[in-house]
Amino acid sequence: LEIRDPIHQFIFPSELEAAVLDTLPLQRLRGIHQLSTSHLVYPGATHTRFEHALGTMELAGRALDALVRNSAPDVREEVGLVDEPAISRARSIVRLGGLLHDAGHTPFSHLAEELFPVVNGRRLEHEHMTANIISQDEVATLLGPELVGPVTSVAVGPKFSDISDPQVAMLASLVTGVLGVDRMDYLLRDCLYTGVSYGAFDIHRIIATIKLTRDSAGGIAVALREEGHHVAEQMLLARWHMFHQVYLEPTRRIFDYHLTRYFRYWLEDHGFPGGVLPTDIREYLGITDADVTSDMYRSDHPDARALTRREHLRPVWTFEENDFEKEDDAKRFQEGIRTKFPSVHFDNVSTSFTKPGDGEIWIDSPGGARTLEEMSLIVRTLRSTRIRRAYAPIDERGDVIAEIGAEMEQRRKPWFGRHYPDNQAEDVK
Amino acid sequence: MTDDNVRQLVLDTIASLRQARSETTRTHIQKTVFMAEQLGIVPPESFEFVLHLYGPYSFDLDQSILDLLASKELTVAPGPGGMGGSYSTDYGVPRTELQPLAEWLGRKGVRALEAITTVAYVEARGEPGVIARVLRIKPHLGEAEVLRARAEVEKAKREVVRPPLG
Repeated sequence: LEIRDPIHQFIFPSELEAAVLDTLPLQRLRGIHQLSTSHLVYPGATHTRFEHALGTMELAGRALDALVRNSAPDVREEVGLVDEPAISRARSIVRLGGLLHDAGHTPFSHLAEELFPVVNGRRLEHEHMTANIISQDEVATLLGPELVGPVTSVAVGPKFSDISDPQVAMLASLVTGVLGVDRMDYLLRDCLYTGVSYGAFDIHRIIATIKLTRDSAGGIAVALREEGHHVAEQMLLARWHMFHQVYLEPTRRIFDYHLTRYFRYWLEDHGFPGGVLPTDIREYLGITDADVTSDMYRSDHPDARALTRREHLRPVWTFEENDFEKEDDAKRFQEGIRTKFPSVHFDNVSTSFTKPGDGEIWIDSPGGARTLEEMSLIVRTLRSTRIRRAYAPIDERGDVIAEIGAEMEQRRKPWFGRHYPDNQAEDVK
Repeated sequence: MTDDNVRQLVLDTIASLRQARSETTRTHIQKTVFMAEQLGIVPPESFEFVLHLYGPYSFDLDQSILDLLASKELTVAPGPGGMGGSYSTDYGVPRTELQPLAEWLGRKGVRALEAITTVAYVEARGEPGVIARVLRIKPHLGEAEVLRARAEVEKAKREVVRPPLG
């Protein structure tokens, strides 16, 4: 079997991978948009989790091969990459982990995470579903008892799987870590399909420089050869720009808001009490984007109309980082505005160039491994930021802008923040 | 714990580590909060810990740190080589009950922190053969340093004063 891919040219699944690809959980990913509602803003962004799963599998194999080629025998031995049968088994695990890593995604990808039920005080996440899907039914039967455990761990990572085997921890890091191939594939793919260029980076260079090194505790860490440090910088910046320009684009965020509300209503309407996602695997796998959107086009629900007739809230104000001293200050301000304009919606989101659980990016230099942060002024400068935006119904835009403007002026900060001009073509890039 | 309590625990842990003249890297924060849970100084399961970076590690705690950075309640400066940034805050106060932990762990290197907290993690799970298990999970550690780490954990269990919870 050979599959053409717009990013990686050809992908060649093994017999086992091809069988896994034919299962319902993988085929369902053809019906899950990679970027939820981004195609309503960037019309080209209609790609799905299916091709991302294939791309992640392909890169996982390439990354492992480079890592074996570039790493010293003693560190390879510490993670069990001692001979060709061991390397071949690791390649199989990491590729299957990459292929299956998104098998449990909700419809509309990350948008619906908040519709999972809370179990034992914690909200389920799609990785819990991924782990369940791999360990049950058809996928587990194909993988067999020897592969189910490590493939699950590599697919969902340490947050959702108890990983005490050093080799599995390393393979999981290769897929889901800070230099993971999941990130590499989605950045390049999202960049291509949205038509933006700032998500691009030199994938060939970064893969070619992957190796194992010893971190500051003497343990094994995935790293880059020294000449890879500029492309690591480039990848972090690509992620930063994609978050700011695409994933958190103001109109896409409000479409996500409306669609989440409509999806909650849809779930209740289809017999899922409380509007929460089912946890039964069969029921869960039976829902794709199309089930919800086809009903949405027939619905008069206001949140359906927001998307189908563009009757959505409009972005009216983006606050600057220094507009509020503390969180409480921002909360009070927003409550004040909502008292006067109950329809106003505030979107408060934190973004960072890394995500929770990301370790250091290790660069193997002469004289020992150093972190990218030590080597790069750019990386030292990038920090988490809070994005706060206000949205209002189209007929209240002027009043809300005037109110927020007056409030901000009273705070003696009239130069901070900005409202959106009336003629902004906010719908389509 | 409420979100506000969690936020304050993180800020006060950082203030306590700073008072103990710690570089206060993310690893110091993670391991101090973990040991505070293990020793009953803060409510158990304030954060969920799994084996990840240098031993037990909480993704939720890391998320709290990122949120506090985004809201400017934390600042981070370049830290010691290989240990990540050095955190500080004006919004936390050193806590008496955290101070012994901060003094114990705050100036340790990442390898010692990894050994101590991995021993405590394995012990807490009640698995037999603690030393052998730790050496399997962390093959780069030597038996002598794992034994030393275990002795330190035992000493902390005897000596650290737990406040009444509730």
